Amino acid sequence: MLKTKSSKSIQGEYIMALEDKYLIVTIIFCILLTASFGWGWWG
Amino acid sequence: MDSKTMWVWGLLILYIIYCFWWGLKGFFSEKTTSGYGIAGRSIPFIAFLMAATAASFSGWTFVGHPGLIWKVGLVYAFASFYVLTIPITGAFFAKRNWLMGKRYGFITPGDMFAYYYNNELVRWLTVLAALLYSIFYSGIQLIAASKLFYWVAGVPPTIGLIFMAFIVWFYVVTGGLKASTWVGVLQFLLLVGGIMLLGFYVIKSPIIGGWSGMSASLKTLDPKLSQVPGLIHFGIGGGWTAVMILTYMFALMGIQSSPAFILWNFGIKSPKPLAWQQVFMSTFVVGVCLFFFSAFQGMGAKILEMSGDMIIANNGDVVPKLMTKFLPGPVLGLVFLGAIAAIHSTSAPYIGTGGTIIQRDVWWRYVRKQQGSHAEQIWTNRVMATILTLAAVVVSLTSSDAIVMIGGFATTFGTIMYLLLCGVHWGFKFPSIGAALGLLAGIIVNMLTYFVWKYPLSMHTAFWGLFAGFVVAYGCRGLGIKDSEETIARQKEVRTWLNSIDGPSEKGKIWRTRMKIVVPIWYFFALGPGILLGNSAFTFCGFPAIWAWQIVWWIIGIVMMWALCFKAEMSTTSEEQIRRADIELMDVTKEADA
Repeated sequence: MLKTKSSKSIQGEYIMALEDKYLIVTIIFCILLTASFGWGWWG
Repeated sequence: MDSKTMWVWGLLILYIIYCFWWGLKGFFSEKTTSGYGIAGRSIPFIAFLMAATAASFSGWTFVGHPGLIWKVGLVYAFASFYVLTIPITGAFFAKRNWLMGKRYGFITPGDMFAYYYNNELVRWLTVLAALLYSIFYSGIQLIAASKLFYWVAGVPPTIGLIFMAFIVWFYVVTGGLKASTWVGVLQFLLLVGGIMLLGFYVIKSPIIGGWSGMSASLKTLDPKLSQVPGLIHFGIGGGWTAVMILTYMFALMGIQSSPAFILWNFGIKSPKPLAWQQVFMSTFVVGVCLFFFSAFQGMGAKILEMSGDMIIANNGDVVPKLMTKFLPGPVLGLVFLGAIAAIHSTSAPYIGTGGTIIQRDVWWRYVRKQQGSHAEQIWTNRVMATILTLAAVVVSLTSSDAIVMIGGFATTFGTIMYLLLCGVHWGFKFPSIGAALGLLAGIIVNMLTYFVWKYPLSMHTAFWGLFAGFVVAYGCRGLGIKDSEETIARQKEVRTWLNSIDGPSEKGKIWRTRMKIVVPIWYFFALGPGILLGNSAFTFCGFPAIWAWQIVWWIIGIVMMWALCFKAEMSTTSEEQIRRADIELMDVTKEADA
């Protein structure tokens, strides 16, 4: 099941919600994609 | 027949088999009115995620969007922000549509509005708006299909148009909403893959010379193509000013508030996919397609035209000509299917839901006086969908305007639904008669500001229609018109229940407060007057200033949508909410006799 809230586990460490992880990956992808044009990867 | 055409036909036949299979599967399995019309409220997570995205971004995205970028330049590429403005409407209303459908058993948006406002005129006007929307919007999809078929396979436009209409008609009328949703899953993959493949081949072609070649060529083009011309034009029309870009986005915000999408919201099994569809599938995945690959196509075509390598007569020809010029056989077949999938993915749900709306709200309610079996309703639904398809074909055969702009006009009939939705879901307070007259005023003003005085003050029809709607609705309140006791009690019950089941958590409240500031700021800089700064603010990686501005605000927009949909809890639901929605039923809608 999808977990849509950040929370703390019983041990007290921070558990990141699935959508937060997706957001981080998404933003990194967007920045790298944009940068790849400057790196000459697209000819 | 050359090998390219054989690839096109071969893959098209496979696609048709897939579509027809789902149609026939539905034909033999769907036996109830709600099963056929709203998929028995059982559309699964992944199917809605992909199909709703494909339906939102249609043939006009695939064919029309690069075409207008070619024609207008990077100024039009601001329209790519509809990857965000379409789903933001979903964030405002979709979850509550589902909750309302679940509790009260609504099948059509007319059911919901007529119940809440206790007024049958609202139902009739919703049907009218749905009809206008579905006919024009499906019509432009078919125009795009016919152009594509002509340039890629040499099929005469009229025959191609009718052939494409037949395919979509067949699987919609046989299979119902579930069939068109599952076909939409494949269509989403083809749509995204097709846009990326074509953009990739365009930019990597030796004539364009890769990104470095395109970037250098862009600097030699007319500066008008990459400059927003001003804030506003005091007159009729006036081009792509900042307020035109902003209000054009209002039109596209009407896609997910359209009667068709409301009906689709009633059909999903659970609201769980909503936030994911809005943030990641729409804003991110389709955003990558539009901000990069569609723009490559549009500006690539402009560069080719200026260098004399391509002759383009009108914007509808851009994508088909790029396809035939750059793509090898198998890829041409795939991209062609991507375009056809994009076109069908939109026309199918609009024809299907349009048929259901007319059948339920007019035929069953008023002609049959709420009598008739499930079987009778399904068959009459099919007849209505057929009539709607024929009307769309007639519109598309007689239309001459740019396909994207007709699409923009069609979606204004979804934007006007904001009036009623704001009342039902967020308690905007105006009397029942104000709702009806406001909707009527909106429809009339939509017509006037498109057919008579097109885009006064360089502001799109969508703005004027919605503005008129709210002025009339609140004008009725200002005149002291009161609702009946029954209406007041009914609305109070709905408000109490919605607030009880869908109130935000303490954290959610904090996020909502923040978003009331963040969202307007984003609109101001990404789409509003702030875009004038983008004409020369900054550049990076070879992107012209206006393009760089768009990319930056798109990435910020993804974060904003994540915050709005997930953190501010506009599109998320808890297990407790779903549990309550499952048991707190108060069915006010008769489905069928037996």
